[in-house]
Amino acid sequence: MRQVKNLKTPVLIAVAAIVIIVAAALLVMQPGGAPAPSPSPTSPPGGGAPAPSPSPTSPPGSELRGALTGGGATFLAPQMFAWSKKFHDVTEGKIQVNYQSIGSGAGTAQFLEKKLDFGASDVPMPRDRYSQVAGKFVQFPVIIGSIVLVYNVPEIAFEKTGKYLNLTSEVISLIYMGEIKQWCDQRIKALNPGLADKLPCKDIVAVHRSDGSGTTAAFTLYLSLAYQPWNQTVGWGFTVKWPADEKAKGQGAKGNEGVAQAVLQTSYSIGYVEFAYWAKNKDKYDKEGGVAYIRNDNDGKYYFPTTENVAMGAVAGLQRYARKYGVLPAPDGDWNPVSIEFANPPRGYPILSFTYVFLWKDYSAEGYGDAATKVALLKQFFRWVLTEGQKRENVVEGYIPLPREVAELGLKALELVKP
Amino acid sequence: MLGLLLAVLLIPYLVAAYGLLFVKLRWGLRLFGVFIMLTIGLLMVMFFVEAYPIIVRDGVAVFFQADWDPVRESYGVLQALVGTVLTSAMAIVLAMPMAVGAAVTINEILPARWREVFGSLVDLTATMPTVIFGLWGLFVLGPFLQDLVNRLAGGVVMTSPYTLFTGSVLLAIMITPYAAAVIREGYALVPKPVEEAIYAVGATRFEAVLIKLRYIRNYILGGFFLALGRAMGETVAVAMVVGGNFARLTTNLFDSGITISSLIALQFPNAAAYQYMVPALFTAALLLALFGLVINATAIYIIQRWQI
Repeated sequence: MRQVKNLKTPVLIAVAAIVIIVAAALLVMQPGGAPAPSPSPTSPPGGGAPAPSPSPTSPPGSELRGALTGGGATFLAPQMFAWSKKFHDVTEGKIQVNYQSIGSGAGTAQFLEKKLDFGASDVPMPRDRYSQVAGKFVQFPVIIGSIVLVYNVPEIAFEKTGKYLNLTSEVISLIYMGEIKQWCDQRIKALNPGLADKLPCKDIVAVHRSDGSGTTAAFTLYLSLAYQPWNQTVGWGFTVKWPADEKAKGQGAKGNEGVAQAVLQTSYSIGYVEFAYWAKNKDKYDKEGGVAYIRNDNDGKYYFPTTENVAMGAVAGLQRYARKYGVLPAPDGDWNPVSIEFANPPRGYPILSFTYVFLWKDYSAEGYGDAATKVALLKQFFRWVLTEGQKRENVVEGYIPLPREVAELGLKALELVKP
Repeated sequence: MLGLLLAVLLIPYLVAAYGLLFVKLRWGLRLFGVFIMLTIGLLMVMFFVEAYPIIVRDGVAVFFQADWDPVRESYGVLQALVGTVLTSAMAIVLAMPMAVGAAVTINEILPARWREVFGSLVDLTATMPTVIFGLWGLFVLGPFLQDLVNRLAGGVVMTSPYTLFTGSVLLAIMITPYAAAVIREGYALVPKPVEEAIYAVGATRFEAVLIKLRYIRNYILGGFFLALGRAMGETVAVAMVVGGNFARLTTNLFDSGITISSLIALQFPNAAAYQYMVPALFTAALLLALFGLVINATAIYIIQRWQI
């Protein structure tokens, strides 16, 4: 008891000291939070001039070193990690690019909150957000993915029949709308005369993503554009309400790997996955079913998802945009119309997904610290990504490099970025 | 924000700790209690504030409708609540016998020197990362259950390996060690004189087990509610196997569905792209928190009644 009493005063003092320190820290921190943005308001009044003031600190190109942090689309992650590693080697370890695979929506949001140096998303900047920051940022595609339809129908497995299914946007839509319920439906048979007598009368399990994803966005955008009724009843986005869930046998799965696995495990199912997830498991799918040829409704031909066919689609989409609007897409413009022209292109494999990168036009005006170095690093990295990074040896299997015409857009965008 | 958190968390903690150590133990404990209640209250307030936009727009309807259509910004969380209730109930029904069985086996049947080993092994299962359970569910348990159920039913009952039932079974396996740990501890604490008395009146080993289980019913109940809490809150593993079908209400266990926590885990990453999805997800969180409170209040009520 006496010991406790002896302790009482010192501990009381200690606790009081801690409380005072914490209170003091709070007081210091609150003004401390404000000064961080305050230098930025001081620089914009200088107009175009502020650039010289921070620049003396950063020497030119070759001596550049530092780290960048970006984040967003999970789809881009494996490719971005590969680029980052390669670029790290190329620059002899001077430049480190970190990528956080947090999802397109979160990547966009955190980029707009200036928590990331660059953002990446499977869809262009959404319209409502675009209007808030129009003219202040640039966006450009860095890589292409394509979405394939894989199916599990043992009766018509590629291994047994040597044939893959033919599908059209209409039939895919009707399956996911719950209108086509069985594999032996006339509308599927009509597209596949060679397999017509083998298609079983079993219920179709339509597998879709259960998490919000850019893959779903690209897939549903394609259906919306290619088949009007889909646009009216379902629409497109990271997550949609699948009518097949209610009317037929819909089934959700988490992530591309989840859908890929669910299709392999579930007989009589169909699902959409990024090209890479099919390419890695091609043999397994061939045993249970396969991957579908998709008809491009614009030229009426069936296309197999190969790198050439997907690249053909991307170039054709860009040409269509240029014809329609008379100019190539502006890097600081609204890319939603561009993504619409890329979807369901006039030629080539029709289901494409682009991953876009967002950069600010003026980093010091946005309140980033050490903007000069940051911009130099960003420019160097993305210039490399859009040129060397698109070479076959630097592209991860399953991704499709940008055709030269599309990569040019990104290089033009980089010219607009300044410290 | 950080300052606010510090002020809310650290200072009351220090004050309570000081009171506990040097002023009066009882008061210090009470302060801690008040402080914890305050934290929970603040958390609920935060959920409500975040969910406010959609509650203003839709009223309470958001709690009682089953819909998830981001394209039309129409949300409801009833289906997720029903999924949570179904999977948790099924999981607890499957897990409790396993947990009691494991506890009794370890304490009664195994030779004394093996008890420690098996006890630790069961505890170890509880510490396994849930994503491992999820992967196992995805690749092994789901296809196995589909096969088993369809064979037993003699028809196609489970069209897919990933259903509410798969989620329930996986949950049952995951929560068993939690309940078992609590029950095992209780079982080991049965006083020697009581045990001797049980055998003295000529009880068989089986009867002795029954009497001892009755003696430690509070521990069993404790394990029950701990496991139930885990089952309701489990996220990753369930999200991987539950089928992720969140647009419509289902009460069929062999159908794919969704739970509140897996809905939040699946939809949160891209929720910021929509105007009302984040509020809708916080509504779901609020609902889960309220539901958890109700469950725990029931638990406390039952335990108190049993003790009289």
